[in-house]
Amino acid sequence: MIQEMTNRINPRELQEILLLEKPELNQEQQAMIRFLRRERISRPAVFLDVTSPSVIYGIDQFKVAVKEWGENNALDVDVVETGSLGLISAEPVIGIQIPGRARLYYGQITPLKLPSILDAVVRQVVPEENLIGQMLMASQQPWEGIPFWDQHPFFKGQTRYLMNLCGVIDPCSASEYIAWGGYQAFAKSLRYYTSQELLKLIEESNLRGRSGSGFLAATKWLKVANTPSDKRYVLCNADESDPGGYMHRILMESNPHLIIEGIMLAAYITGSGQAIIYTRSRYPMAVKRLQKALQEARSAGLLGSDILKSGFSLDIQLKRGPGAYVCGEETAILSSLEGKRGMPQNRPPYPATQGLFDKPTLVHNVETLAQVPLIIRNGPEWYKKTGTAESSGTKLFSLSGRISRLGVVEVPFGTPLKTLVNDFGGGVRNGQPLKALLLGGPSGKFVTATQIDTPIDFEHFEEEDLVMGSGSLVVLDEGCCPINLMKNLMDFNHQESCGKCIPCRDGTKRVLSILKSVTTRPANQEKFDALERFRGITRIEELAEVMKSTSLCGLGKTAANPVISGMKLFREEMEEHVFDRICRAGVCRNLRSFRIDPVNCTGCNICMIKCPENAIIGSPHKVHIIMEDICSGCGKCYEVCKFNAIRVL
Amino acid sequence: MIIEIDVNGRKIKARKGERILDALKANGIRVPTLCNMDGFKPTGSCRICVVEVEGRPDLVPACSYPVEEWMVLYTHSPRVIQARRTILELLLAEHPEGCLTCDRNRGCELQELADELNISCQNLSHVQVSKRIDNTSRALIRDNAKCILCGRCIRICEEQQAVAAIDFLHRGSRIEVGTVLDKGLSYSSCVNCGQCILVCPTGALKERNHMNDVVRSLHDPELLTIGLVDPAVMASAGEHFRSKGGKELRTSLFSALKRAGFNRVYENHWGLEKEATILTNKFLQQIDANSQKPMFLSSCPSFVQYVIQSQSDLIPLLAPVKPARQLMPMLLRKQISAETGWPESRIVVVYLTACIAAKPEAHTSIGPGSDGYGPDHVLSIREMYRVIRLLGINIDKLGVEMLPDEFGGNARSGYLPALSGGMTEAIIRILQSDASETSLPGGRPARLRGTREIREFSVQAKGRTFQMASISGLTNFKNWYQDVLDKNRHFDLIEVMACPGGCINGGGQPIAGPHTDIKSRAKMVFELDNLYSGISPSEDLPLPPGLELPLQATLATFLPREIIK
Amino acid sequence: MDDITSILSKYPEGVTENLIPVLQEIQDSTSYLNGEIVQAVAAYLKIPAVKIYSVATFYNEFRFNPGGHYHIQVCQGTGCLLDGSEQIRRELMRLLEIGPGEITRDGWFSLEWVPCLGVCQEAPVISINGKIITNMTPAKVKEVIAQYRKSR
Repeated sequence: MIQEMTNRINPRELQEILLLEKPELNQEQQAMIRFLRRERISRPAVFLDVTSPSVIYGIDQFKVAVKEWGENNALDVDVVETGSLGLISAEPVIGIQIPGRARLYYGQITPLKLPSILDAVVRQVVPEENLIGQMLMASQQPWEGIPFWDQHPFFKGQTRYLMNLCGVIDPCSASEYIAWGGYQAFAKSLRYYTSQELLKLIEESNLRGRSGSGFLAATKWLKVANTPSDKRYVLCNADESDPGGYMHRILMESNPHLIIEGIMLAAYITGSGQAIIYTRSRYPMAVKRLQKALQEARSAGLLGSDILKSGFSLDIQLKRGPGAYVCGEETAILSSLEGKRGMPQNRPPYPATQGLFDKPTLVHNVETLAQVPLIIRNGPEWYKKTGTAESSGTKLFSLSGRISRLGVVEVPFGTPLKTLVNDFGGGVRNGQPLKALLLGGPSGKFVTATQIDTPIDFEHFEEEDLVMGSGSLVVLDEGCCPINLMKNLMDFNHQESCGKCIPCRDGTKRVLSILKSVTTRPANQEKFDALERFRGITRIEELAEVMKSTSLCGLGKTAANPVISGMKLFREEMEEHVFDRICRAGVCRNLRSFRIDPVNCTGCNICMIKCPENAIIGSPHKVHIIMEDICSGCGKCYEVCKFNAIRVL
Repeated sequence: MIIEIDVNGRKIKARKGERILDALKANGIRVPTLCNMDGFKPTGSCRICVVEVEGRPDLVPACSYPVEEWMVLYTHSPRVIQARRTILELLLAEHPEGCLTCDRNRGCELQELADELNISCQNLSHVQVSKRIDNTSRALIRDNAKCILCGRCIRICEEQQAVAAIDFLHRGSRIEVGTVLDKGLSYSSCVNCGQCILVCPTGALKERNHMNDVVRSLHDPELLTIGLVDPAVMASAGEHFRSKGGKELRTSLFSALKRAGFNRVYENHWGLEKEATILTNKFLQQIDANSQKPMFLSSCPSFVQYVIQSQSDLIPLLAPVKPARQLMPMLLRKQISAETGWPESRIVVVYLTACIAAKPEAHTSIGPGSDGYGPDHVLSIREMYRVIRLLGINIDKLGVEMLPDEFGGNARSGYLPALSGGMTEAIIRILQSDASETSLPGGRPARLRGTREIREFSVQAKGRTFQMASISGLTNFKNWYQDVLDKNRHFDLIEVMACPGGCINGGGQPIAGPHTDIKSRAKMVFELDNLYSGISPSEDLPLPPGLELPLQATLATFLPREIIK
Repeated sequence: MDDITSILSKYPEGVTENLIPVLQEIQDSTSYLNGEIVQAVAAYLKIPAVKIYSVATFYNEFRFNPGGHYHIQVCQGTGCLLDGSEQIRRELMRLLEIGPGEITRDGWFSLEWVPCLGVCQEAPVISINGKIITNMTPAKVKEVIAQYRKSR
């Protein structure tokens, strides 16, 4: 029947399954499905979360540990590499399953801890330490009294439409994906529906782009489909380079087939015969998994010419971006794919009508395309049930920073921000009070406690002047300096600017130098620097406004967002930096420079004694000297000097 | 389709889909631009031309945004002016403050823009920018500190000249214009045509300066300084002198030069006509030998350089004739030395020209041990006017004082090579000079003339029909010649000038901005040509005595200097 | 040079849009680009040489000089930033006396700031020749550098 060893099946058998609804499957087919899903296994299995955050813990060591345990217990154990459930701070995450029983997930496991857990589980005992929960599939027997994984505070309340298979399946396996219902939408679309009919479904579903602007995707789809052309392209923008955002990476490494199916559907619906996934070279695991997944899709007959005898032909190419954040901008990717510098172009014309090689091109990011199979499979009415009236569906967020639980969460639109922080995220680390959130990465804005009740959807965010971006959420506590963060974000924007237009190229440089002068010790000791600081700060808002209204592309337009919002929300802190030269978070060190005035210094030695860093040298009754590189700018000497001999700069 | 849009409260007519900038221009509304270059696709990189469109939160660039029906625009609202000012301030804050010592002082687009936008004080602190100056080339110098990254030079080099020697390197604020591997212009595919200088809005690009050497020479009583003036110089003289007619201009210019201290000034006439006769001879030899291959004229040094680099299979087809600018200095030295008794070593020949690519041929560029041909110094037209001004000569108030010196008698077609197609016409005149039947009555063929950059014609002469073509602009040549090869067309003579329009649009011409009026320069050339309409072109130009042998010796050695290099 | 020719022959001549994959494949094999490579690619893909150099200098990944024996990459992600990656960067620059994109005089170390490495739960993070080292502190930087220096 099925080769138990390889867990792969004949593509023809797969295709039959694709076109049938579940009740129509016969006994044999149903058994095959359960097997492919690993719902039914014949031997114990260990599921290793192998994703970028977890590989650093040494996957091979785990495999060795399992092998040894198997040898010691005379048992054959299957080891399956999966993606990630999304709870990054619990890595390494292991799933353990014995035949007939629900799968058990454990977090923060080491190769040393593993054998004892395996020992217990095969004896039908579930150790509670490090347990995330049990994952029950239909025909399995649950463990009594053991919490379910989706009751874990990180997972409880999430709506996991995109993430549902992440951490559960072998990411590259087309058969496993199909066994869970994957590629059904695509196969049925090809067989039973025209692209016009499907386009209608997309329109009705209210699908909105997930890259931050929330535009109605159907507008683009219509343009692409209706522009007369001999060729059309679908371009999946997987060039996530947002520092601190990793939701796309987790999705690509954990369920690449979902994205691929989304692309396939988009291609069929818009009449595109060629699709390209453009991803970062620096995501080697995502690249590898996507390549493997594409290969499997091809062997299953789902890519190529005359797919499933429908007359529709499609191939998907994977291209690695050589590293430029600006290539997240749609016209920049097109330039890059044409073999040029990734410079954004003027719009109009828009890529939907004149894109890659001047052909109509549909450009969407990973998350938007991943929504499509669900919409087609379940219908727009089902999709609209989740989310709000205007913003349907779910949104992925990556939580990082000073939060207790880090990871990728998927929530329906309308969820208040505070739920992410307090419920899924478990609140600020170590019970500290929340200072602010940074939402949207280098083009994002700060959110303080007053806005934390804001529901997450495009309408409320526009009202509250917040930025969703692609979903990166960074949590700040009192130990974080927002001014320093602003400076680093502007540094990033400055480095990544393509350099084409003046407001971005010179604007980011200028704002960066102003922020640098605010957060670091003056380079020389003349009044010049102080004047610079004051003059610069008064102009920063105006520069930001010009950057926003005149830059050519999104990078320049949004580069000043953190600064604008930071200046508004942290005005006091900014003034402390500028005028008092104090960083209350203690992050910007050495803001002040101290110099001993040789005229007034009597060599009394008090400052030298009081200096906590031992940064002052001098002999009694001789002029003392402060050593710049050791001085931490604490100001103690200034406080204790009775002779007015310490100058502050 | 004509539509109506609302601009600054007033309704104007525009064509649907055209650029806002063009619609505004047609209605007399001026929006400042910096990176825009007429005739080229807009890049939208400077953002100076932004305008406010009702209903859009951000400002849009007028140079690339199309006009839409019911559009409401504000071109000079406070918000727009503030944005333009801030952008310019950002630019100026990184621009070197040395206007006073810059070549383009009072001729710089950045200065004009700052003036128009009324930048009265600089609120952003100035950053000292120092970038490496590329002076590896003997013809051009590039100072990236002054570059505002408009990209015009890159587009000209790539799109108009098919050379692509430069491009943007790096990214963000480290972006700069440079050559492959940052090695400098002399290691790149640059052909020294200097077209980039003509479009550069600031002083980032300029020709290598020989002014100081020339001025020193003019003042040196031990040296006899001779000026050799190319006809292209005359073409644009009207832009500097207020006199009207070509005859008057001629004498004004030469008076100015002589007053400046040139002991003698010659027009390059005789040389060019001589070159034409030698070319005609070579051409006929080739035709008689039935070579079936076209002869390419080699008077344009940029074209020769381009051939050597990109189309080396054409090298054997280049006419092996030394161009006049390399021939004349040697002849002049000998002639003047014989006449006056001054030793040749103390006779300095200064070639005044529109050709930047001629600069490397100056002895001072090459260094000691040169082959004795070529001028001592080469001055571009721009440098020439500076010298004249430096030496206190007020060109508006000169009278008709001094005429150019004569060499070898008058030459019929000596002015024509200033244009594209001119040398070809000179050759045609010679070919047809002995025949009674001509298809060129009175020496004025309409088809031959004009400033179109690709011209083909058949010529009847010496009892046969010749197919000739004259092309200007290297991209034009590249595309045209590919087409010729594809369609297997036959040509007997092909003249290619690298600069579109010919030397009247050469890299050394006065920079009149993006609206250089080539047509009026061409007209000037024809007017001057008419001065000699009474003279018949002859195959034997009278040569001053004693120069026959050196001439023959020279002609025997044709080797483009660049091949030696 | 043979590797380069064999890599080029996998792509059709004169098709300019393959420039980036070609350069990526070549750099994967030769570890950095140089003038010879630029000229070879220019001739094969029929692109002016300066355009190739222009494209290569635009992107972060192409480089024209070899990395050090140990190439140190420091994560620039926001998570690492909040946990002190700036100090790590400062310390590295102080110890090695070079900045990002540079190589020590003895060619032993080179430095680069890279976008998020994806190990936010163990921030701040650096990577040395692909090996990720987590929970860095300035003190740990000293130790690590000393350790890698010793392996000479």
